[in-house]
Amino acid sequence: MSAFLLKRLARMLGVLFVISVAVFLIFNVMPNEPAAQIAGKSATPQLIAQVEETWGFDEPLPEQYLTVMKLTFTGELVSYTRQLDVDEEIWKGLPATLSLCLGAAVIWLLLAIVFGYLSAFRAGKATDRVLMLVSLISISLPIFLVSSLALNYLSYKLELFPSSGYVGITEDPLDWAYHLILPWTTMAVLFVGLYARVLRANLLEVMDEDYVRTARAKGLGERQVRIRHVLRNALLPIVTLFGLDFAALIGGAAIITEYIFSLGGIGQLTANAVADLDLPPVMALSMLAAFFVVVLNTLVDIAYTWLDPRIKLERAQ
Amino acid sequence: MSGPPVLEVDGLRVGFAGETGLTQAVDGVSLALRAGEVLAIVGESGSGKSVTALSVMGLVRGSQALVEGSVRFEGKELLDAGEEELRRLRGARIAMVFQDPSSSFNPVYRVGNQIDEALRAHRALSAREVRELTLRTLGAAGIADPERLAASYPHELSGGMCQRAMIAMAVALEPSVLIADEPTTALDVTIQAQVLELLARLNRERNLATLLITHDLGVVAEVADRVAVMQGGRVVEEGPLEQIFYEPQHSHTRELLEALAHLGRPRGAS
Amino acid sequence: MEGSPRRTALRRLRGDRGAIAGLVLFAAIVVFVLAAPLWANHVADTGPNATHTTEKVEVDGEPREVVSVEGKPVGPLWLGAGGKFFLGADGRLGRDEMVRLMYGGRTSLFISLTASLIATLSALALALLAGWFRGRVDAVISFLLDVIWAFPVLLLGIALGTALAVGGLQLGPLSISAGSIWIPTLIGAFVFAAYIARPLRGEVLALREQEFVKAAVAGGAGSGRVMLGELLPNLVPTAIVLFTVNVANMMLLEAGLSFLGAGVQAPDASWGTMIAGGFEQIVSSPRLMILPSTMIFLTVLSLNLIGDGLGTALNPRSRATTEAHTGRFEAEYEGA
Repeated sequence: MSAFLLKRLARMLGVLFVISVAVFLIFNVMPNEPAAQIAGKSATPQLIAQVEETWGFDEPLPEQYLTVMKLTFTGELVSYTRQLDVDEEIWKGLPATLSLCLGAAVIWLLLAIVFGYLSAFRAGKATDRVLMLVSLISISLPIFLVSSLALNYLSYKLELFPSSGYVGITEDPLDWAYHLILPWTTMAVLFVGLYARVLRANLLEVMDEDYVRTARAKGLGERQVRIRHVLRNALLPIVTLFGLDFAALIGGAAIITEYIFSLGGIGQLTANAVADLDLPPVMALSMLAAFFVVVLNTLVDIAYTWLDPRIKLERAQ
Repeated sequence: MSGPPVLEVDGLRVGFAGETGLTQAVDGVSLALRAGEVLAIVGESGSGKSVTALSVMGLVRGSQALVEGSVRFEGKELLDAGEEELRRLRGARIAMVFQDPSSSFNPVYRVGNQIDEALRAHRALSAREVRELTLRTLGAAGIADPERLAASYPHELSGGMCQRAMIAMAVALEPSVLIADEPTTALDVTIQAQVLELLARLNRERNLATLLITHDLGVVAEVADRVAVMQGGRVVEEGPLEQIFYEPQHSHTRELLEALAHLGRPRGAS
Repeated sequence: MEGSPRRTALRRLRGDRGAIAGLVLFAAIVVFVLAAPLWANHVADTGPNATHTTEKVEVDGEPREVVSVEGKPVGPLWLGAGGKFFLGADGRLGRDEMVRLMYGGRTSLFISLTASLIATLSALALALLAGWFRGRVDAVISFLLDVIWAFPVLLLGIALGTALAVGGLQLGPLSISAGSIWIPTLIGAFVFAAYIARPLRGEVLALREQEFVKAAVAGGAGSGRVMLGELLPNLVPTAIVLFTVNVANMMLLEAGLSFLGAGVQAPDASWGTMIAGGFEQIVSSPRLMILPSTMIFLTVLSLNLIGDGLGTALNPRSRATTEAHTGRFEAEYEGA
């Protein structure tokens, strides 16, 4: 097993390296006048010259790459447009982003399991049709529509929920949750439908497996069969799916949701930087998000070999 | 091999509603299985033998299946029994083993756990007692190292070992009837003989009435007392082993016997 | 078995009410969007960028300000002014929201359809090369695809969009100015080519083991002939499904990018840019955000319905999971 583990980790490092090169190319090589863009819209010629030096624009590309990587990883990246220390801003924004993503994930997983389970075990009947229709609608709903409706009606008109702001969980847990309910729901709505559909498909497939028939034949109660055998096995692919999705949240739904609800996390940091065409934060965050995706996927892959005993054997062979 | 039948099937009819109408998989089947007897149901695929077996266990219920007739276990009618009643019988009084042992165990749980699970569904025993019974039954099924097998996952075991474990799980609670649906079809030839020998031994030692479903007359010859030949959802001939083999009455029986004779090459090369 | 696979698929599709509804809805949206010049010139009498801040419009004989003194735009007039400001005005600039919605839709649909087309064609090429030649070619292509997948779609789009937003794209002879809608189009094509290539490559790997491919090789067909003559035709059904779903994904990506400012740039307008503008006025005129969002919702919904229908029609036994969703921007299709 450890040979496989080492190989996997090596591959991960390889991908991380290439990602860093890709990010470097996108932000330092591809733009027309990178130094000027990095220095920002209202940059003076002196500032641009300073940027050129700090970022190594006069060096040959490989050295330039190393210079930029050093800047990024030693936390010396600075946003010239807004006079901010990039890594400080990232640290400050992490709690909000994690609160948002984890909370939404818990909600959508629980709901998806309930919906998927009900749909699959009442396949073809009214419950199934309704839930699947709801799922189809939910996966087609853009965040914009859900959030605009929620903000307008639940927040502004009925004043049921706050429309913006983040309160730390350590400050006031209730207020923390209160501010996050709308953002959580906005993000969860999109994923509940997707996961319910996938789980339903998995459950329908597993239902026909031989071992489910054996479970019934040996006298297990129907609920026990459904949960210990059908659901347990059907949830397995969801784990990998979730790993992919959760990591992608940070670079996707979280950005827009945080921006709309002014949650001040790293998603909003990204959004603000984009609006100002402020390159350094966007560069750092791109790398961070991609790294997170790769690392999380590797962890999920490894965890999967532990969850599904068959995989170990396949890898070894 | 005497006394009233332990399992009686009377005019069983099973139909499946599909897109093209109703398919009658079982069309009026009547059988009787006595205590300690091995009754083999032979037929080609599609003859309805597996569906008959599943109907006995009440595993063909569902919105698409139409089951009519009578199935009596120890005098009790099964076809209109409640789900909880059937559940109590399954695995404890009537047990079943299936064709593909590797896929008949859940791949994510250890084999021992799955046998424990079967026992716990019917007996209120402590965890230790359950595990002891599991290991004992595995030993009785001819497994040399029961603890090691119990700790294994299904995919780590050979087909033969898996099938032994499956049979062990089936007989652990000393059922009266064992239904074996093509138990050796998925196994290698040498292993087939071992598994059949196990079934024969269990039948003798425990007076276990066995319903053996197979398409392979060679298997029948080894273990059966009586044979019922099925074709197109009906029993076309039934009788003692010798009669079926040496004085077959029905043309289909003769066809099956001829096919067996013409093989003349090592089996297992299907 | 009667009828070719294509005919059976069409028959199944015709019976699929969801897919038909999707097609009708999508067609309606396309018509809506194509009718933009007609509406602008003959009904609303204005263009998508024409401002009417200080003007008044006659509603049932009474003059009303397009934009009030406090800066509040007029709400939907429906047919009250003969179709002008049907959906109201869009904020301080007093532009006709209905006209903008139609023209914005053109931009969004154009970008989505074009990007998806380029992405699908590129993905087919990549999948064929990687899946057929395997070995080093596959290793390199797969590795590069892995790198692209590591970036969440929106973020990758943002990264590229931000980097190109000021200076445009200069790739050798190819030169695209910063404000061109080809920037978001090409970005989307680039990103999604990788996502579509993955399932297609899987199909190529499965197909190459089949008898008819081996027969072709045995008959002396070279790689090119096999890829184009044998493999490609069999990839077309899956490619069509992936294309359909990708249009929806692309719509959402474009909306997200434009919303954040890294997509379509002024003076062009798309539903995404309209949502951004509407967001700023969410309290005073929520419809400005809700309307373009709803249009995107309807388009994505129709495409999902069509994609689902196509998926089951072409391969009813497959667990076709074809979806588009904002946070994920991914399409998965599993053949049987």
